[in-house]
Amino acid sequence: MAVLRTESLERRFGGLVAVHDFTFELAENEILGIIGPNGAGKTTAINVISGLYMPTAGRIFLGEEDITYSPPHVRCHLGIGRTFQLVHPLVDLTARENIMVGALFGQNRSLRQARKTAEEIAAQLSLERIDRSVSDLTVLEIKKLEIGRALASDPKVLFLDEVMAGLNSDETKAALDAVRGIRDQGVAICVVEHVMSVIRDLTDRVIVLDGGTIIAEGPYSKVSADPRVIAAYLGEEE
Amino acid sequence: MSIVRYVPYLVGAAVAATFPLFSGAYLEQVAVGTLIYLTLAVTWDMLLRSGQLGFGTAGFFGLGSYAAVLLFLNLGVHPFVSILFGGVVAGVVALLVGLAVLRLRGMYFAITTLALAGIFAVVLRNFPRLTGGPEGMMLPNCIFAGDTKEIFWLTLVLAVFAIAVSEVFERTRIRLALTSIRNDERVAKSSGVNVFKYLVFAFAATSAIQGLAGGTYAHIFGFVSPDGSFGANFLLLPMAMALLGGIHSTWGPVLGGLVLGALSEYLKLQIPYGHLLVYGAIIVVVILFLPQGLTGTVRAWRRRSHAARGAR
Repeated sequence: MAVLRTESLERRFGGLVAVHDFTFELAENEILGIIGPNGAGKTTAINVISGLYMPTAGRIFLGEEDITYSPPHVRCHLGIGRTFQLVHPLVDLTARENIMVGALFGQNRSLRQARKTAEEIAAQLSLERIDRSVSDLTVLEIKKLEIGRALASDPKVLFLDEVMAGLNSDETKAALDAVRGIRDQGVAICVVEHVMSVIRDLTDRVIVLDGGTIIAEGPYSKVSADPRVIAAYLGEEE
Repeated sequence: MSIVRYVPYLVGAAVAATFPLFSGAYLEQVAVGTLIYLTLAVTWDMLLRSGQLGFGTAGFFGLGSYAAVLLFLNLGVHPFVSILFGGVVAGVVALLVGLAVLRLRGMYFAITTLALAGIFAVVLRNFPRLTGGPEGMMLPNCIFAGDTKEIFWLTLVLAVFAIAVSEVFERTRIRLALTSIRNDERVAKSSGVNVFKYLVFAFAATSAIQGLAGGTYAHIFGFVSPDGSFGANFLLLPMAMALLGGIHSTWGPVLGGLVLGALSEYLKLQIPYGHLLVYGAIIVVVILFLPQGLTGTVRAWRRRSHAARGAR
C-alpha cells in the first residue's frame, strides 16, 4: 500500500484557492518529483501535508492512519519529515544540537541516543565539526543541516523543498547521491525542484502542479514532453 | 582545567553559606530582598528562553502571597506549608490561564499576562470579608519572629531552588525544546516538538516558583495588600536584573540580581520614590546598548578572542 496518500486535498486562504483537487500517492522507496511554475502551490501542498496548515477539504493518509487533522508534531512522530525552502537553522543551537532536536522530539530518544544519532546523520551527510555554532556554517552546510534535522526524526516520508537551489555541479552530484542513500535506507522521498536535470536524474515519477492542481503525472520523459506542461512553463532546463 | 570552572560557584556557595556570620541585621535584610528579586529574575528568564515575553511575574507573586496568608490565617498551618500552598495555587492558576492563553504569541501574550496582576488584585480587593479588601491583611507575627538570620536562610533556599530548576531547564532536553521554539516555532513543530505543551509547562512552572517567592515574602514582611503585593517593582526589577546580567541563562539573572540588589538598596536611600523610574531606564539602556547583558557580552568577547587566536 502507499506510504502516503492524499484525496482531493484543498487549501483555501479566504477567497484564494492555493491547492485544490490534490490527489496523489507515494510508494515506499519511491522518489517523487513535484514541479511547476512559481506560485503553483508546491510549498503550500507540503505545508498542508506536514501539518503547518490544516486542509480546508480532503484527506491525508500515512499508511492506514488518517492524519488529516493531526497537529504537525504528531505527524512528525508518525513519520513525516520536511525541509524548508528558505533554510531555517536554529541559530542559538550548535549544528549538532540542531540535528538532535529532530532526534529527541521526532522520536522520543534519550539525550545520549540523540547525540549519537546526530553524529551518525552528520557523518552520512558529510557534515563535519558539528559543535560549531550555526553562524559559522557555509550555505551548503546549512542545507545539509536542514536535511539532517529532518532525517533525525526517522521519517517514513521526507519532503525536500528546493534543496538543490544554488549548488554547483559537484555539490549537486553529491546531493543526488545523498538523497539516493536516504531512499536506500527505506525513506520515501518527495523533491520539489526547479532544476530539471535533477528531476530527470533522481526521480522515479513526477507530478506537475499549476494553479494549485495537478496537471500531469508520470515519468519525467513523458511529463517533459507533455504540451500542457510545456505550456504551463516548465521552468528552466539545465 | 575543569576544576577551574567550578571555582566561582564554590566561592559563591562559601560566601552564601557564611554570610550570616559576618553580616549584621541590615545587610541580611538587603540580602533577603536581593534573593527574592533574584528568584523572580531567574524565573522570568526561564519563560523568556521559550521566546515568550511574560509580564505575569508580579501577578503570580501576589497571588502566592495572598494564598499563603489566607491558608495560614484560616487554617493555622505551619508557615512553610502555606508558602508551598502559595506556590501550588500560583502554578495551578497559571496552568489554567496558560491552557487558555498560550495560543497567543508576542505582544498579545505579554499584554494578557500583564493584565493578570491587575485582575488578581481587583478580585482580591473586592472580597473584603475574605481578604481584607484594599487594606489587605496582616499576620500576627513575621516568620521566625523576624530573626533576620533565619529569614536569610529561608530566602537562600528559595533562590537556590529557583537556580536549580533553571539549571534543569538548561541541562536537559527542555533547553533544546524551548530554544527551538524561540528560534523558529514552525521548525520546532515540524521536528516533533509539542510547542503548546512545553509553553504551558514553562509558564506554569515559573509561575509556581513566583508564587513560592510571594508566599515567602508575605511571611517575612507580615502583610499582603492589593497594591503592595502586586506592585510593578516585582516585575520591573527582576526584568532589569535579568537583562543587565544577561538573558537566556541562569547565571546572567543571578549576576544581575546581585548587582542590582545592591544598587537598588543604595538607590532607595538616595531617591526614595524614584527607583522604579531607574529600573525602567536600566531596562531601556540595556536593551539599546548591551542587549546581551554582562554575561552575554563577556561570552561574545571570549568567542571573538578564541576565533582571532585560531586564525593566527
